[in-house]
Amino acid sequence: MERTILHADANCFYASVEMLHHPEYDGLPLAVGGDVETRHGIILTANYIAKRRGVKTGSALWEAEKACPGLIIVPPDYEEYLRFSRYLREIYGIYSDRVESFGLDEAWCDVTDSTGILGSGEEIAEEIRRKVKAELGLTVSVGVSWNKIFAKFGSDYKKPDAVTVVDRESYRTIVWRRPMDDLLYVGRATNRKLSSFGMHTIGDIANADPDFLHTLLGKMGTTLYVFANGGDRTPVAMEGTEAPIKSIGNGMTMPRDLTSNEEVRMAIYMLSESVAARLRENHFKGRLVEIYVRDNDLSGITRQHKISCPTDISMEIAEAAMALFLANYHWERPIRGLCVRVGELAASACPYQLNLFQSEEEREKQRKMDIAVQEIRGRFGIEAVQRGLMAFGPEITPRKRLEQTIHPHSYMERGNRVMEG
Amino acid sequence: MIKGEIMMEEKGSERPNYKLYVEVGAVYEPDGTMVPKYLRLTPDGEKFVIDHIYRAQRSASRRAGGCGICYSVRIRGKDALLYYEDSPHASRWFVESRYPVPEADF
Ligand SMILES: [Mg+2]
Repeated sequence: MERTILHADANCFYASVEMLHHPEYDGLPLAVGGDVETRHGIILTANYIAKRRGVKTGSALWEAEKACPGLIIVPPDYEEYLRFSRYLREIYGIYSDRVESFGLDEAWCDVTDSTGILGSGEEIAEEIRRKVKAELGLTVSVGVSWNKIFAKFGSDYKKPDAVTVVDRESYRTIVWRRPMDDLLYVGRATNRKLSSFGMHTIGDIANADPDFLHTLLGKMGTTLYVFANGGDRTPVAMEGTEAPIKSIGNGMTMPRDLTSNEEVRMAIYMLSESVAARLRENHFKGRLVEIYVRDNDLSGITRQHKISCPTDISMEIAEAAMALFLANYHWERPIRGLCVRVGELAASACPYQLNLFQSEEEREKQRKMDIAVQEIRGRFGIEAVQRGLMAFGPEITPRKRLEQTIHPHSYMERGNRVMEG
Repeated sequence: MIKGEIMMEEKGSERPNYKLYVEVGAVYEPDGTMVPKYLRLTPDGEKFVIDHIYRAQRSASRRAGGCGICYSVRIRGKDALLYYEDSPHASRWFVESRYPVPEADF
């Protein structure tokens, strides 16, 4: 049976929650920013008025104020965002027990089983949109499709407060005509490479010879070909609706199997970076690192490791994940899917026992480096900063780091459930 | 003297609107249902008994700002909205008011 998958994205989430609580700022540019803990002030989210005046997520506070005089900057109220994230999930949970969130403001929702009873995917999406607006005072944009990639595309296509259906009849006109970097994973270098062969749209990728793409881009070429043709089969994970965010994870299904530690390392570093970025955006640190590895026989293993200090540093996450992988995977089969997840989350500001053997100074330095990388990527695109390791690999780095656009689709299936509990 | 008024679903009400946190007496039924019974606009103020609850559902308050479980109630023959704001900072009750003054004429 054809699946019906929604992807709902709360528009300018943090800023919208603040606007709701401050009707006196109606019609004014507002941004959520600042990070008292690291004394490192950046814009986390801005409302649409501020965005139109040039306020960018990830930019320094002073830059934002320069671009937009009169900008109202409010500090993040993380607990309040968690509360609204929980409400959002409660609403999605009415329509499906398959709700998979990534961070606080986005979720996939497999409504296949509800469509007969509650109406079409589009009708359910409209109902969710209206309900969120009336009950929570927020807007969501919702994409409806038969796969997670196109559903995600749909929620980015028209916003705020809108529903976009990408079905078998319409995907050629809606998706294929868009520039290729609207597709997940298409970075600047990929774009440049494909452009030099006269390819510019997602449709160009979809209609290319897959062998040619593979020759040009390695395994990522095959992945892009599959995504562009709506062939992604990654399931929406089942999570408990009562627990909005117990972990942040990110994963992907490989249309063509990984066969070496180096390919795996590349994927793990890429996933860890997006997970770390997402942790920081949501003001979390976690101390449980988990990997989920699915081989091409579709059996999976989940392994987790508790690290000594809660972290939001990509290097620490990636190293723990890679160590888990090397210790537990013996290459009996090639790998089809990988997921990296960080659990046992606590608010960044929570005090924790310092590890006596680890220099806090050193960690703080790494953390700053991560944030710097994140900012530069935000401003100049992801290829501006590449870790040495990534520079050699095919471009499996996500296209844009910031808020609504990054995420290689989440792939966790059962693996994530170990984390809920 | 300015007369405050707890607002019901009127259209075209003038801004600004104020969020008035109020004292509420509520009863928890054995199944956990929370039923507001009366409210006071000030701690030693007049007691407004809630005659009837039409419905309770989560709702955003665009006028006062915020969201909570919104009780549509009848007080002294007038309809009003009473919000239970279950915020992590403080769980409390508020009403939307046209004036920042804790007075009402139900
Ligand atoms: Mg969003």
